[in-house]
Amino acid sequence: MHNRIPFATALLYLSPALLLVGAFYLYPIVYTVPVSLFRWDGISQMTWAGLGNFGILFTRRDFLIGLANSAIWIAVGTFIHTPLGLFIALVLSRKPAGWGFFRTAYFVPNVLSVASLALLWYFLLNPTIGPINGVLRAVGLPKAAVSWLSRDGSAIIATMTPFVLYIGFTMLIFLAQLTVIPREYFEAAQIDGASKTQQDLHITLPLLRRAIMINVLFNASFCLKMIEYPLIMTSGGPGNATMTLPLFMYFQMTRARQFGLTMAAALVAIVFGALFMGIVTLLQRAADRRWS
Amino acid sequence: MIGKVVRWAGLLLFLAVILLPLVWLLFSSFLPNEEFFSRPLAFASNHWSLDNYARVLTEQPMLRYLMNSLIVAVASTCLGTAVALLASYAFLFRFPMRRPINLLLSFGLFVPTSAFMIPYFLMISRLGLYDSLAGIALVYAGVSMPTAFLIITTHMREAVYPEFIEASLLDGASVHQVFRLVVAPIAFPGAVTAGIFLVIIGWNELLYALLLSQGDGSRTVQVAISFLVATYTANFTQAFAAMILAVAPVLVIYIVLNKRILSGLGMAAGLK
Repeated sequence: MHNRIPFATALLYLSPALLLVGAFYLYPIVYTVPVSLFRWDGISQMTWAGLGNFGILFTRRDFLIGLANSAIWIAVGTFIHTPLGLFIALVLSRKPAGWGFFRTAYFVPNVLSVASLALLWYFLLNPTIGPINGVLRAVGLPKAAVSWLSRDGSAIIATMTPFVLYIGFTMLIFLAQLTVIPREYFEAAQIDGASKTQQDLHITLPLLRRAIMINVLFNASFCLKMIEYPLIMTSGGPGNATMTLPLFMYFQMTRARQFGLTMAAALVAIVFGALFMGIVTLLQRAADRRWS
Repeated sequence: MIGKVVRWAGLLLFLAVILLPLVWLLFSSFLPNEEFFSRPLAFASNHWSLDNYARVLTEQPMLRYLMNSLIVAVASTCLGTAVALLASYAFLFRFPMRRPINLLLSFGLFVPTSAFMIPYFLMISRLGLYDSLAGIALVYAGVSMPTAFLIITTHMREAVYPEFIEASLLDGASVHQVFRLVVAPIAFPGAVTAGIFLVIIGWNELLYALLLSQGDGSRTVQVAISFLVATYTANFTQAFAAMILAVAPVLVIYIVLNKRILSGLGMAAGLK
């Protein structure tokens, strides 16, 4: 039913977009591969390093912790943030009084910059004047009022907390998909005597699998890009406890000026992301076969 | 009944978790620093004033930073949205390699772009745009073009009927005339929605602005506030005022346009 146009005409409209995508997505990927094989400070002559950069990476504690933490970020995004967003979307989809207001309000942090939110949480978690410790002391738990950002165990949890809570985007994608499920499905189930929870489990969840996949992919890509929370709240510390892959790259590029090493780490991040995407897509296909 | 009460209590509690920190930030930004330090949890005071704001705006080139952010956000949005609108139009037609090109223009949505710090830095430097607003805006336009493309194509599929195009072509209009006279006006609301998103994304971005700027002339407000912890080690309430200034524009946009933003996002994600 679409009208046909010659390729040349289409290209006329497509070429600016192709140029941007070529410059900002394709070229960087292609460029990353060769440069990761050199030792380079960005200014002087490059020297061949072969796979040396990768050898160095996998002996560096800060890189390995950053890689592990980025994987933890993705796991938290997939198994905590996404289910929380789904849960809240399910509650709101039953249209309790004021649901529209709740939806609008929950989304507020998602339009604010991550940099400002990171700063906000840096101050919220301040050990002496931060309101979180203030509340803990006020309710008689002075022992729980610790220096959240400078302790090994709590620092990474602290940098992830705002991300976990700010489910606005995830919630919205689920809500959008929830509103297109035909009512008859639920009416039929109700006649068969299925409870609300059973309906959610057996009707809603399978029908939401597309939204689940979109959310998991978006959140994983957000997590794999994560730099603001650790950079601003902890600078990757204490030690390297809150290091992430992008933060490692940022430090290697700007402080150590190890461009080759940074590019090797970038390649690991790209491959990591592509693998994750591939796995999620395969799972989605399997789910499609199971429920269609 | 009990279920309803519990559900409502839960929603309210979560509301408090989401909004109270922001309210605390706003209220504290009007407090003198000394008073804030003596009782940091106060939501009421006799000493509220705009002092912190006045200081932040005069002691630092904060207006300059805000202006820089505005220029970068608007310029990148105009470029990214215009390019995406043109590309979306082509997808109202059939043409060779339609599917692979669609994939090519969309796959960027899921790419961890922070891996591209060095390529972007080198590209912008070689173009002579390092430490300039144009360099930052160009990167933003390129990175967020796929987002605009997704929003605009989704809207077009809903709003532009192939029959319109067919009829116009039969009436003797050229493909270009159809774009100018028929499709562009109908697609305009979708382009505006995409534009709102790109402005917010551009206003909020930190990493590339940090890597591509050096002096005050190209420093965006996000970069400026990311240095706050070091700048205001002791003067917290002044830092709060700067943070409020950095988020106020998008907050105002959201308060005015939240219906459009939420439905636009829902549409882009829900259909397809």
